Amino acid sequence: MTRPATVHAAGDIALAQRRRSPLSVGSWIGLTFLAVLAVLGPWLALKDPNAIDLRNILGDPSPQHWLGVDSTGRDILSRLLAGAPVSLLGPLVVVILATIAGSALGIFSAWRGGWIDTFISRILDILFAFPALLLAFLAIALFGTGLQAAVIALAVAYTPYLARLVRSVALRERQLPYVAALEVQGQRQLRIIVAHVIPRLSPFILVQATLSFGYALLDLAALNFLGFGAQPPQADWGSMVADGLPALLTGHPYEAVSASLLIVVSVLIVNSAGEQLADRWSGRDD
Amino acid sequence: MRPPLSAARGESRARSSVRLARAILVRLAWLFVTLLAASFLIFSATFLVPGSVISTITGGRSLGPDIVAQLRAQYRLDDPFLVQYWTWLGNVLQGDFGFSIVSREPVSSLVGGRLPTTLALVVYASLLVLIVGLALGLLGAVGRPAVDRSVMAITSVGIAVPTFVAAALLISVLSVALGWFPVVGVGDGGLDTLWHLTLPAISLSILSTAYIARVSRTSIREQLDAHYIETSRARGLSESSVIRRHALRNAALPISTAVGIAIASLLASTVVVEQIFSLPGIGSLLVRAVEQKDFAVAQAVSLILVAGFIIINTLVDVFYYVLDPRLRRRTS
Repeated sequence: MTRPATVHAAGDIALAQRRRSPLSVGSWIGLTFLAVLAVLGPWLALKDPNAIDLRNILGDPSPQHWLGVDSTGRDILSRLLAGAPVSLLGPLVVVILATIAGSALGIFSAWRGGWIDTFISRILDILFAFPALLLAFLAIALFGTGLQAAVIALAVAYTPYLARLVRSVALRERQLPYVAALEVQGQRQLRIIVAHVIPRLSPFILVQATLSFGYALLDLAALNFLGFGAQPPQADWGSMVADGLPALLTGHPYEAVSASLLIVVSVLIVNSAGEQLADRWSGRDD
Repeated sequence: MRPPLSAARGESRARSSVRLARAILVRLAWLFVTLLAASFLIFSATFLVPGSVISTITGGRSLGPDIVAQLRAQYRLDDPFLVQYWTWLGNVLQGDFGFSIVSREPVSSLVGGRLPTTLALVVYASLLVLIVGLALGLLGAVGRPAVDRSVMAITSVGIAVPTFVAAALLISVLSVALGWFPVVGVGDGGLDTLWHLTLPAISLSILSTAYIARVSRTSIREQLDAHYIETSRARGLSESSVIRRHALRNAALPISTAVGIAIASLLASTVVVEQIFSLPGIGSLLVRAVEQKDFAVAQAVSLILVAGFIIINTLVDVFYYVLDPRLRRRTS
């Protein structure tokens, strides 16, 4: 007699858990893995990631070097770990800067309306005509190579994309009766936006930011691959693929393949989390 | 009395083609404005850099006073800003992009010689994106759940693989290990060039193909779930004609927007692919120009790529109007 009750309870608990967390267990594990890599990576490296040993180059995996050594005898595993902050936090900074700037622009434009809205929208349309990577090339041609220039250029390039999306939802929000009600009560616009509009839009903004992260990671990795981002001896996954390319072609795949895998897996983890958030919060699954 | 049906239809068709022409004209005017603004941004970027304009143009090199004087005259640095821009734009429109500070050649001849390679690569990759992307999307939308799941799994990975990783993998497996494809270069024209461009085009197309497959799968599926589709089925139309005549036609709108974005983004990624495969296109020229601080060349290539991006997106918008009669009605 107790069995159906237990099943019912277990079902309830499962349902409650589903409601509490918008992400699957797999996503949480994946995101935790990335966070640990990004923050603790350099401390987890057991060997000096920049120690050159020309007597031992392109070695295969061994007990001393779990993933082998690169073309100048540096420990590949340590370099992957030391490169994690640049490879993961770099795109994170891009997305955070672009999200803040894009949300501010989008909400401001939608709230002001009129010619200000038209003007901002047109400027965004024009900036939208610049592919992110191209804007980054142009910025680097002007300001010189380096991680900072690459990150700022990508953030600028991603801003119009987020601003457009936020503007479209903010326009709809502006029409809702609760905004008019708060205005009638004499609340200041800025307060309405900060206390009500931004919290209500934040799930949407978070989804868009998460989905942009994958693209930011790929673009920044491409800049690093070309040698325009982080400069040696600083390790990062994009330039490790570039460094490992000649070795890959002569049968020593460890550096290029392990760095490639980390990039692909990171994007997969974040994209899958983003899609779960989108499904949950757009109401498609509920 | 209602007018005869054929006359009413003829009149509305004439009016609708006038509206179509007007919508396209507006779009072309906007194209012109965007191109002008983009060229202004690319030109004025020089002035954002701290330090003198001349040192940006020369990439910080110390050159003889006669060359500096020549550059000052060429860029009209002693004139007001807008005059400088106007002169520069006039020269650009006549195909004069100035001189490369490194090779002392005219930028136009450097770019002109390399443009066909990039165009061929981008067109080749665009065809792959369209054919493979749409086929995968359709397969996912109408296929059995297992097929749909595999399409989704393949495209999730496709979206996560950087172009340079795909290129490295393809070179190491198909060129070096199996010897099926050449590693670098463009070959000597015709089929040989096609052969040389195959791996670069595949690497370039993977990300966009996966993106198009996802968008088209979702849009076709949304249409197939709609009520009107059920009505057509109830009317006894065959499933293939329901998909072809109704679902695909309505799904074509979101898909064509995505195709515009995807193909335009190939223009940026071609830079990476040309670099890896050592192809003599304008993308690898841009990388070299950035490395050598050859500003006139970087400026010219950026301008060409941005213009290509804007023009492709305009073409997609025009296609949109042709495709959807409702949009024409709304613009009037």
